[in-house]
Amino acid sequence: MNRIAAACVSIAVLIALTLGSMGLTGEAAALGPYRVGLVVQFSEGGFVTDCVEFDQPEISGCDVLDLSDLSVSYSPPGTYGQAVCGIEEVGCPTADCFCDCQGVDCVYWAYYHLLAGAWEYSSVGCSAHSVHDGDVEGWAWGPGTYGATSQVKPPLFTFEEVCVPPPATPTRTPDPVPPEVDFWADPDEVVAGQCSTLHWSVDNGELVALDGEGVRPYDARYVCPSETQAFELLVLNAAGEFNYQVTISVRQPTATPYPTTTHAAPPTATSRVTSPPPPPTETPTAEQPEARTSPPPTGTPTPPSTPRPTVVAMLSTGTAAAPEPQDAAIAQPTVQASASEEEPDDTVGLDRILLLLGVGAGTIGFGTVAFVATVILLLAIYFRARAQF
Amino acid sequence: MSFLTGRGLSALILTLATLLGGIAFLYPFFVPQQRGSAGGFMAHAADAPVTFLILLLLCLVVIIANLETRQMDSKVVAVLGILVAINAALRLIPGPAGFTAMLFLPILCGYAYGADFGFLLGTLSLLVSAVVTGGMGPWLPYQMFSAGWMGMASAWLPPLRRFGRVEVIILALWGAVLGLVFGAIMNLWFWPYLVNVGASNTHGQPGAGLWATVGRYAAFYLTTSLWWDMGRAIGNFLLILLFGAPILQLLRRFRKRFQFAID
Amino acid sequence: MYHTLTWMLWLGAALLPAMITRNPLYLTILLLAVAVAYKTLGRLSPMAASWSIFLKAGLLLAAVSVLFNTLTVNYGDTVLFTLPLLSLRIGRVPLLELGGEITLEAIVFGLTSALSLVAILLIFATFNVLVDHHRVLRLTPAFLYQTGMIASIAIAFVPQMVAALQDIREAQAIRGHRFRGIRDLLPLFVPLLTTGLERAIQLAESMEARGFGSGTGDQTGRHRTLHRMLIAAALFGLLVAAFSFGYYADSRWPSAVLGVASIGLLLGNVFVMSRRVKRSRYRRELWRRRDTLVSAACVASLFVVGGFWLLNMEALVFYPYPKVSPPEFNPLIGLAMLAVVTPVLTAPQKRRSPT
Repeated sequence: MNRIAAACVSIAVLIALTLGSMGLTGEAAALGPYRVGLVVQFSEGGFVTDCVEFDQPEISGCDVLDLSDLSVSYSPPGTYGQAVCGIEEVGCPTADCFCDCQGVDCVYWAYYHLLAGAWEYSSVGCSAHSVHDGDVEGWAWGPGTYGATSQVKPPLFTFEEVCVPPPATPTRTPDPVPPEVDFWADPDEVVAGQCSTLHWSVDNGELVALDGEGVRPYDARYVCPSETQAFELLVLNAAGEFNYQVTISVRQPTATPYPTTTHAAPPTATSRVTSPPPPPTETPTAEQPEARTSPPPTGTPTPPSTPRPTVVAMLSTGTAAAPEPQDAAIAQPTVQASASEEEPDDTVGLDRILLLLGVGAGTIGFGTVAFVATVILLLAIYFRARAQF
Repeated sequence: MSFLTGRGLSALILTLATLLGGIAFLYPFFVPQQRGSAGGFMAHAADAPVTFLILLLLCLVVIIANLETRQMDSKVVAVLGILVAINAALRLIPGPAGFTAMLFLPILCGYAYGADFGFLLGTLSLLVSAVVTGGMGPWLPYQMFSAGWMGMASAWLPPLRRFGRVEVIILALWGAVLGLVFGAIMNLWFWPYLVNVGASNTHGQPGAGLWATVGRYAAFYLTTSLWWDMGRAIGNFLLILLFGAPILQLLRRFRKRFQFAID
Repeated sequence: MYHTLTWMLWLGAALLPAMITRNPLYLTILLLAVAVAYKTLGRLSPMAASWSIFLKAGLLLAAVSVLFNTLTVNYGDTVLFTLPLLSLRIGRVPLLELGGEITLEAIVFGLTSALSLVAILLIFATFNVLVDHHRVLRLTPAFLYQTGMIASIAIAFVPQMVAALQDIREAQAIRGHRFRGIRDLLPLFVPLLTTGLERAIQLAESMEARGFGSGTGDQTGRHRTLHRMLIAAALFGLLVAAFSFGYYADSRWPSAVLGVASIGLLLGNVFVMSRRVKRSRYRRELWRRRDTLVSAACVASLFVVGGFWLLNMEALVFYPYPKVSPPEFNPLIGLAMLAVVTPVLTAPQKRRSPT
């Protein structure tokens, strides 16, 4: 009996732990932002620093690189993760990740952590190392021994040197600076029933609110307005109160609109375009005729001060960890646009089906047909032969 | 010159072929380490099994051919044939927990009659038993090689006869170890199908790759195949412990009668 | 029903794609083709029972593959759900991680690997069922004739040894001996070995009486040494090639050439050595027209798949990471897989016996 009881208790504890850990991760996503310093040494002399913000209490070293505005190429994934092949233009192509290696002697991207004011060579790769608030990560391209040593180190920076000014104490700065805000909709013009994504990135803001509701400084929201609607982003910091507006104009076809639920949907894949409004790549809005009445709305800030037109490095949105398929995001407007252009009265359903058929035939069409034909041929051989033997 | 023509050349061929065979067995651990990943090469990760299977077959042929270049005595041929038949017959008897007394004879014969004899006995036992039972599979070259190695390695034990009963105990322990080793290296034939061999090594940071792969394999081995291999090890241990002495005595008696020209 | 050589070619043509591609479409076709071959030709074979053993083994390995991949690989873009992570570490190097993010890609990779394994096993199972193993053994190259002889002796004696085991068992059962544990095997082993070795002595004597070992040794010592030196050189070349292929990134082509050249040298040696040994055959297998047809199909298939393998590997690769996408299908490769069913098409009709 004791044994059974013990087993029950341990199972219960296991379940509780599981649920607890799940709960914890869910909760943790709401905290933040946390910050980490990043120092990347490209070659002798050339280096870049970046301060990366993130929402989870713990992310991997690879995530830090992903969240920075550097372009990083990883090797094709292995069983445990990826290797860093190149950062920006320096390094190896993804196709041949350790191209400068002879056995263990390599020129490669060495990985460091700042520990007690000195760079420590990382014995593990970036996906296996977890990074916390206040850490500094270093990368250096140079010769060394694969996985053991490297002859180069990134220049030494402390966390405070990389991440200035710390936004946690903006009130104490003698000269309060206005927040840097990017706020735009993608696309900014939709057909009724179609949805759009509001993006914003706020640097140096203490409080950010969208239509009166507190939101995170880097985020996006999926909205499906039924009629032209203005969205307002309110940003507060020591310099005052700032308002930004984006209008999503809605054209009214006679087709029935989508149910307009403005739920906080998972983030769509955001392209790293910084100038608002970004022309959505390959979306038909750019190709549509000029017969548009409403001017393309921009993030028009209301007084007191215009935000500086700095190109804010779009550190990716807070929840960029799980990007949705990009083609899905593109494909949807295509359907709607073609419907609105040619036969606005037609039902959306037929168009969808046609498109699906087209996509199917285009991508796997011939192959699928050939495959099915081969299988049918095999089955025919089987039944013919079975009759004979 | 005599080194090149005689036994030295034979040993050289054996060493080279064994090294190549070892590569064929162990490549899953080295491929990811050497090339972190990489397009063209990654594509070829998928065909590594067939490449190394061919390599293994070649090595097997070379080793056997090398053993054959001496004209074998008719007695050696006959005794090997019969012992292979006995071993294959023993393999047909199902033991408890899937254990078969397959390594038992190669170990003892390798120890008593030498490396060549042990290698051939191990290799051919597996081949004949596969032929008889219709059990040819992708594992066959691996099995033949492993069993051959087991027989060969047993010949490397120092002569223990003067220790009396201790000899059998050492041999029994040896058999247990070889049982485990056999299982560990036999899993390697399908290991590349389980993991993504040849893709980027584990943590992105080279160096950790080899050990991580070994660790992964160790974890896989501990969780799955160890139980079967334990059975094999314990079976070998018990068989040799109980019957090792009388069978060794028998083998040595016949060795005198055959006047073996081995070694 | 076919020549053994035809079956060997069939095995090659089926095995090569099964081992080098993980594309589920090709593997599916291959599996279906092998199943058709078995279902039509192999059902009546006496070895048919081994098919189900192979199938079970294949399914077991497949399950292990899928589970292992799903649980230990957290890579891939399409995260299905997250399990608590069980991590085993040595120091700071993670040894094994179970659970964590379960991705669709890992499952797909496991499934394609499983498909490949099952295909390989079923190909062998069908081969085992359809081919006459004794004839396969007769295909051993001539220079290995002593090993072939040993194997032939062994195969001939296996039934005798099994019978001897039964005899000894019965004899001891009559004396009231019962088998209870492993210790009771001793009275089984020692008589078996003794009778076996005694029989070997008789065999050796009769072999010598029939002239074993007198006629075939026409290799002179000089030739033998030359061959062995060439073989050693070829092995050395292979070793160097394998090492440099793995070690030096920029020398893949030279090392591949060296490897192929070494293999050529090795095989050439073997061929020449075989030519020196003269063997006569008592009974020759018939090579019929259908053998020519099937062999031609298999060789063509080997050429197509081998060509893709060497020249355009990408066409065979299916790799789900980092984001799974539908596999491509090249009709030419699909057609090549169909060589596996040609024995079904050309087989003589209404014959009940497969041999």
